[in-house]
Amino acid sequence: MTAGTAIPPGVIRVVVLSLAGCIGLLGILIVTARVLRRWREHRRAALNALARTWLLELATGDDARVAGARSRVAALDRRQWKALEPTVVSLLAKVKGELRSSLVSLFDERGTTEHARHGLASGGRFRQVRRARAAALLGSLGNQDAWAPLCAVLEDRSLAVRIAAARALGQIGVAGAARPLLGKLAGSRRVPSDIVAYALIQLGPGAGRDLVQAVSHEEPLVRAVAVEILGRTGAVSAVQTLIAALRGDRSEEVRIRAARAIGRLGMLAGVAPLLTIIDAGESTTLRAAAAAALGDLGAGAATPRLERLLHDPAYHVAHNAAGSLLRLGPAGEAALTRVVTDGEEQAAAHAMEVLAIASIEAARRPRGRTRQAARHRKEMHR
Amino acid sequence: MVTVLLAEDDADIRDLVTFKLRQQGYEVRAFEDGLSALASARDEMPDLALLDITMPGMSGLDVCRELRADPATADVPIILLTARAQESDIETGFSVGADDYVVKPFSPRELVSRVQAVLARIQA
Repeated sequence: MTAGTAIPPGVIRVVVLSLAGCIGLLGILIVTARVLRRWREHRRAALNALARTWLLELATGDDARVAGARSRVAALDRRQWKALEPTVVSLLAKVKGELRSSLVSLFDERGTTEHARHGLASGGRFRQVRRARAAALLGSLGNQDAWAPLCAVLEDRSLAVRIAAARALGQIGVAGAARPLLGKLAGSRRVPSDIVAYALIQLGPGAGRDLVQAVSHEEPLVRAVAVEILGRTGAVSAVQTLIAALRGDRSEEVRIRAARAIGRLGMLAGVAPLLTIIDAGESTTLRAAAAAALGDLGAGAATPRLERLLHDPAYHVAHNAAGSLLRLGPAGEAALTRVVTDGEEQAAAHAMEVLAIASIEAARRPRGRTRQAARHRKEMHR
Repeated sequence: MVTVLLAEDDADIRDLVTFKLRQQGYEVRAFEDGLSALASARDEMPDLALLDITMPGMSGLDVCRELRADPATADVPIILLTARAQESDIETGFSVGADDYVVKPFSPRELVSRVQAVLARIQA
């Protein structure tokens, strides 16, 4: 380095001092931000602790105390309400009855519900968080007036917003949302199938007609979800639709779910189609599902056929048949015991396995309140 | 005074149930986990136990099983609290000796009625 290129000491001093100043300023900023944040958290916690007692007052059922608590919450300013809102929303999901109605009316009285409806309609990519929050809040409130706008939001370009809208529609529970929700399993701008399925279950029996129609949809995923929900919601009137899907759907996944659904419905009409599937040259997975469904269904008449199935060369078919026999009760257990004694080695192994598990489960169950326990309790109370 | 043992890890529900039962004149011993609740029950037997099924560590079902297995506490009436999604647990709950169950979300008023009904049934 030559003398001509050396940095003057004054410049170095200025740079060092500037850097030290910047570091000091940054330190002050960090400390100030932390102090402010702690102060805000402390204030929020104090407000929440106080407001929590007001919210609990709403559960008393005493008109005067409820009115007092409501007026105190109504008097909160915007910032205080914002701090309290997450607590109230959290409580909404945990209670029902009068307390829930009181909590919902707090949102109506403060204009928060109306604000959320406007938020749902706010456009633009940068407002997707606002739309998703609005959908989530309207769902938590169970706001039935919002179901149509929420169906429109299912078309939102943001996946997070679509998911929030689907969940909200499930919480609101208006059966008319079934078709739009099923539509989100196909085409563009889809919603994950587990989210749609759970929302459809929440809609209840009113969604049955749309679900039955969806069993003939061209998209296999739509058919599979529809079949699954019909079984889980106990839609007994759909049993023939499910039997038709079991017999002739183009997708094996749909047929497997139809077998499970028929088992869950527990209707006699399902026994013969399930036995036909087991006897026909179907895939092992489908036959295994049908064998398990016979046990769920409680088909006592299928006991001899299930007993023979213990000898099936396909492991899962024989294993599920053993489980089904156990679920059928005494007749099934007798068949299993018979196979343990007289059956060939592989069939006996399946029977022994389920009988052993059943005996372990039985041993874990308490034998009820014994006289000794009752005596002990009386002695303790003396 | 009738003592109710409450095991519930959700602070909102714990506070709400405690508040509502105390309002009705019950003494409530509330815990946020199953192990503490079980220790309390063994230390001093409650008149009724209200147990959430899903708790970290020891679940309500485990506490129920332990209470029923011990002759000193086998006779305590037990109500289970369960989320709607865990309704399959109800069957298990009854098999381990529960007397009744309440599904979340629940009405605080209904919960009190269930507590009163179970106590009345046991005392009859």
